[in-house]
Amino acid sequence: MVPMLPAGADSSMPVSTTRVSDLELVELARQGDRPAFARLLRRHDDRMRGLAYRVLADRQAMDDVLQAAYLRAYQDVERFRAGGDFGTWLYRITYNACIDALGEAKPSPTARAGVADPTSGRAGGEPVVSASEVVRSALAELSIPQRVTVVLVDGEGFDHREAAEILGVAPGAVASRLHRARTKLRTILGEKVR
Amino acid sequence: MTNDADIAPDSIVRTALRRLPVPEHSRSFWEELDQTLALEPSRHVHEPALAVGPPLAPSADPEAATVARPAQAGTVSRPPTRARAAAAEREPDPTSRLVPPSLRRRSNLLLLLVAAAAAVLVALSGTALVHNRAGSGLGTGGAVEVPAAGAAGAAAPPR
Repeated sequence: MVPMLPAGADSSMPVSTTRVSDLELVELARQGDRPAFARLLRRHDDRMRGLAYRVLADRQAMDDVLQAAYLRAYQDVERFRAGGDFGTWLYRITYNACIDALGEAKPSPTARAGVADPTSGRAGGEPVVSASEVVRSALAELSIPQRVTVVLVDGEGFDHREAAEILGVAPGAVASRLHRARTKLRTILGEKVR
Repeated sequence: MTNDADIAPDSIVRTALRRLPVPEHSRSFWEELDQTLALEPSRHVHEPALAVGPPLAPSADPEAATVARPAQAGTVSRPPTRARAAAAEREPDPTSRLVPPSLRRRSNLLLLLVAAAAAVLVALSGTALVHNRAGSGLGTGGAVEVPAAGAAGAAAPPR
């Protein structure tokens, strides 16, 4: 399926000027259109980076995990249900890739706290750096399920039902994990700020 | 354990998470991804419209930039990722196109051979059974030949 160009548009124009829906891009990707799939990925990449970086706390690990996740998504794009939300589906793949990476490497985010902080070196950014370090180390003290849950709900803005769908657990389990994660985070942050 | 407060977003935690900025990808991320995806077996039905024509010019729309940009001079290339290595392993062997997909695994071929041998055995046994029944008269409507009394006596061992 080829996206329709607006009336009067020159067919030689870059297609980038048209707004194509996720489902249309998925359909193109199913036919082997890699640029279309890349557009789809770029559309959701900010949020996938948000999840991967907050869970892994390491830029290199984030890149590796997202390479694996995007490859998996490309391989499995034919399994994506037409009625579903591509972003949620991609979140789930990214989440599973994060879990795989954590299971294999057991990274220590606190040990790598100085790596690739995007705010480091910014003029007058010292308080921001210290705040990010505090949050990073506080997140690292949560269990992986708690960390992912709090990142999805409080970091990415998903509701319980959506987070449960991504995590593959019941909404009740999300609420339970969230309660523990928030309590622990508040305690840790309170101690570190003091 | 949980209550309605857990359903609502937690502003303190949300603010804290926003204090953790998310870095951009490394410069070669999209190029590496494009190379990895290019190793995947093609599933073209027809040449899609988005793939033809000149490369997309850099535009204000970040999502429109393709991953197919040529490698820039001076770009530091990283060692191959696990994903790419796995994709390379999955590169199809051109000779395997002659073999039906269901037979590409050795175990499937073995199963097929065992099934064929079993079928031959069943056929042979069936044929032999039919011959036996025909020879013994069982094949003529189930009538059993009863030997004559004299013949039976002649066949009896001497006392």
